[in-house]
Amino acid sequence: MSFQLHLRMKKAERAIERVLGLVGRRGYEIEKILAQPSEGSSGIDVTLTIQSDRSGEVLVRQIAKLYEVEQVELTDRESDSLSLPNQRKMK
Amino acid sequence: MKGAEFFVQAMEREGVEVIFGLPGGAIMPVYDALLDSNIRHVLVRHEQAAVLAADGYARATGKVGVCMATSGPGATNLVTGIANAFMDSVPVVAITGQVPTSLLGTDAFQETDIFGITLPIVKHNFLVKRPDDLPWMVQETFRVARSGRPGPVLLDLPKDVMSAEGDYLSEPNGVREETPPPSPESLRSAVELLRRSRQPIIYAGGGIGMGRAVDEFRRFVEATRIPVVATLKGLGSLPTDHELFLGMIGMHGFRAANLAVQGCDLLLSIGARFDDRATGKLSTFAPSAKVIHLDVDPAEVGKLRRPDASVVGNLQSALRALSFPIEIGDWQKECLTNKVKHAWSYDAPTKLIYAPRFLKQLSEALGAGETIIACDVGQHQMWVAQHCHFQRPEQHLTSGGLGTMGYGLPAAMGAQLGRPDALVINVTGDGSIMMNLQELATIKRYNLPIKIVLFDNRALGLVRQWQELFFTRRYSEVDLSDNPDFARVAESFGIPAFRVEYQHEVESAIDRLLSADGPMLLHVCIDQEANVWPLVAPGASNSEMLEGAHK
Repeated sequence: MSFQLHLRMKKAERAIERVLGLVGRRGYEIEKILAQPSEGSSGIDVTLTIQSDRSGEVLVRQIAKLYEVEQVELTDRESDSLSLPNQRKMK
Repeated sequence: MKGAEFFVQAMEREGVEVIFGLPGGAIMPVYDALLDSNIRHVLVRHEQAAVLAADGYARATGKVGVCMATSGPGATNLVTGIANAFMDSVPVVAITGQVPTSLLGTDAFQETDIFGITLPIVKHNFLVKRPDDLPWMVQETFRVARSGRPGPVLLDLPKDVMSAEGDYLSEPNGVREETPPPSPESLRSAVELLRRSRQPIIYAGGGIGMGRAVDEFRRFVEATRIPVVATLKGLGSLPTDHELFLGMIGMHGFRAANLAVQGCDLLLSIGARFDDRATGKLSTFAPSAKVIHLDVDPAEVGKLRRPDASVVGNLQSALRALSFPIEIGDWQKECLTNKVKHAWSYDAPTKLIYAPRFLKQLSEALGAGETIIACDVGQHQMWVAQHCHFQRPEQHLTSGGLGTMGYGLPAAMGAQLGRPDALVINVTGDGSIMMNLQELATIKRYNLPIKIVLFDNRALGLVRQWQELFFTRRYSEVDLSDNPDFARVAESFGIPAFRVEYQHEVESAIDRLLSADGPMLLHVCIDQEANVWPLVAPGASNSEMLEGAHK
């Protein structure tokens, strides 16, 4: 099963490493990474294409907890997106 | 003001009273600033003990535990304890010195990438590269550690940032973020499931104590009268001598508790995480049950078992909304009958000391006073969980998720420093105590009146047990028959100690131990072949509990 995660993140010390580490550690395989500065803000937009038999929704909830992650959306090729904003404030 | 001075004052504003640590080169500016602070520093003899003591302090007091070490080996020695706090959701702040920012990435003396090393085992971590970031990062370190599902946060402090002069603007400290209540919709579906259930069981986890929801939990139990089983960390959320408490579940769980879960039609998981040691083979765990999962952490919901209703948010309000009477008289009777039927037996046919009976006697001697038992890891840890009584979860300090041998002695130190009036007991084994034995010096230095009960079976007992049962008695590297004389070891640290070998000595030994003014070590020799029963074999269902001889 392949799905995509779309993250909006704050720029912070090794924030992308933190996300990639979490994904791998939780047993998901990353097929493709696209990271670029967010348009109109100082953050970063990251899109991950992931291959796994494990649930994408569980991974979304784990990623949403990361300090720098402001928003994460899950999409697959057919269904609508699931979006979980990270409600914590941060600098 | 120097960065280190600001940092120490900010910690004071965070309410930090005690720091466990050990100085070294890169952290020296902070140690210098500590001299002008009211914060008490407790010098340990190995950094692992600093972080485990901070963990024990946090669990016993409900406050954030703080430890400190220098860069390089000081920092890497914290790693096991940070992982321990992460697995058990304990609010610990780990402060590490770091080489000056100009030397970062150059393989400087005692440089190690502790930020990177700890990424997988912290709730969050910060590397303070600019003095301007110091105030908000300190504030966030403490806020993140204590809010929501608590956990360890590491703050890495380069030496030049700590030495830099600056005008630091204070951020408000002591920020505590309230966890939002669960949504009304999620509560409605949980209420519906609860009303329809005829055979519900409460599966109580460590989140009840960590989430300060013990009172609400008890009112919920009294209102619904649902029988309760607990995880290792959930022990004490309901007094273990409560009539509705069936016992711990899992690999070494109480038979009636495991059977109740296997037979229930509704499992209310409260602050628990379906750990494999608790569930046994997951696909056969509570096979006929619908599941209501209550947790502060949305990422736990559906991680291992898909719930029929999930209630995410603070447990206090969730439990209040579910506190109503339900009709489950027959089921309750069945569970309580099983509890009596499978009650522990303490009449092992031996003149030697039978550890479960010893712990029962110890627990009875302690009574309902303000006592804390800090365990190490292994057979004795399971016996404590099975046979000691706990009125509150913070009375039982145990390394649940990580299973860290060497946890108990430093955790007891942290608990004793956080709760000076409590009677703190470290129950340990001959394998575990050797992993942080050096802390006997700390106990002596601060005259911490900790009572150490050391079960000595001259083996790495739990591994020996598994080799006996699952590796055709091919014993591999578990023999410790050349152990030192532990009583003499303790005495050489200035801690009185004595040894017992026979059951008839136990009562007076416990009396002598508990009436000692200062620290004392009781060396308890037990049968090398004593095993923990019952046992669910790894990968088996919790309904398949093995029994064996009691020695």
